[in-house]
Amino acid sequence: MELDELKSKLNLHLETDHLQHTEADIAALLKKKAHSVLSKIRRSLSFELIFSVAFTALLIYVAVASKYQSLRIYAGSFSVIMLLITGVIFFLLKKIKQATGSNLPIRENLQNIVVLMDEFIRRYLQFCFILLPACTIFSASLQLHEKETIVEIDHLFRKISPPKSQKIWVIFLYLTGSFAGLYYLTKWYLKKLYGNFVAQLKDYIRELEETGKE
Amino acid sequence: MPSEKEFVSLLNQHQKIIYKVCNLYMQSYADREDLFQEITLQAWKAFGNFRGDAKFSTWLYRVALNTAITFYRKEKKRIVFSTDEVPELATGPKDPIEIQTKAMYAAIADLSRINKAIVMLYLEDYSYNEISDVVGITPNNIAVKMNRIKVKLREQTQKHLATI
Repeated sequence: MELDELKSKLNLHLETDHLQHTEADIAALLKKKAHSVLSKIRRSLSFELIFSVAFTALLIYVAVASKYQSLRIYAGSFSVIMLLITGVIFFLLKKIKQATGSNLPIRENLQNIVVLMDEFIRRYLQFCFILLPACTIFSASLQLHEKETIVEIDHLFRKISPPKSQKIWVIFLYLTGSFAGLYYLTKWYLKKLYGNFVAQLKDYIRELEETGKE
Repeated sequence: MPSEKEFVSLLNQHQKIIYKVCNLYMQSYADREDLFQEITLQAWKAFGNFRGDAKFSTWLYRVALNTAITFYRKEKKRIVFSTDEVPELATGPKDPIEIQTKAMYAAIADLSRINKAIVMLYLEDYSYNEISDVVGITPNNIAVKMNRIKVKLREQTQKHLATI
């Protein structure tokens, strides 16, 4: 038998296989937490936004209150960078909020989500890769120009400091290791979290677009 | 500002739509309940954009199908239906029409998420133009897709019939 002949039977099947929810049940559901990937990203971005604002405030405080010039410059510069990062997070969060409240056709909705996810992953990777070398180089150059000794840091370095001849190798290995580690860890983490989902959505878009080409 | 009471009342009247989508896309009771909750929440978030120029049922179908297609949790394996998981019909499986329905149900469950959405609207007697509005591809492409789906369903139903 064909699909058309079984329409009513199939409809009945799909309609009846459930428990009825009351209005009170539905109202209670509205208080619960959404579990879609976009909702998760939205929560994650909200957390990052709060953290960024708090961290920027801390950096500004250090930039104003520290007695060491190098720390003031470091904190001051990074408070500006953090402000930029906060702006990007805010922008992404706004776009995700718009996407979750929209009522687009399936194809457009999928394209929208893929664009947002790609943007989110790209920005996340950019921040990670720019910040690590920038922080290391910047802090090292400031450390060299600091006239006053920062006792706590000096004490720490003396404790872990390798012999002079090995110093350059330790720094080189530390930088390469951190950068490679961060690169692969971040890529692996993002792929594990969102990679499969994005790939699946791209397959759906391809499936929708293939019809016209064949 | 949309009223929660109005939304709850409308959703209550149309909850069969959500259940149809949940039954088509999810295998277990727990998954269906999770998807029901997700669709309800997404519909509530989108309700502010509902202007009443479309039927509420069409609007709800769009939200529900969008949510079902993008519903993803990494701990869940890909949903694979088999004829064993299709609930028994009240009249018993001996009736040839019921056996055909059961096989067709299992064949629909094997379709991709996109094709399921198209079949769902087709079963609701939506025209190709209306399906096109929800899916976002041209009515011609919907017609082409629907023909292919029918062929696929015919083949798959035969396979499932052999196992019943």
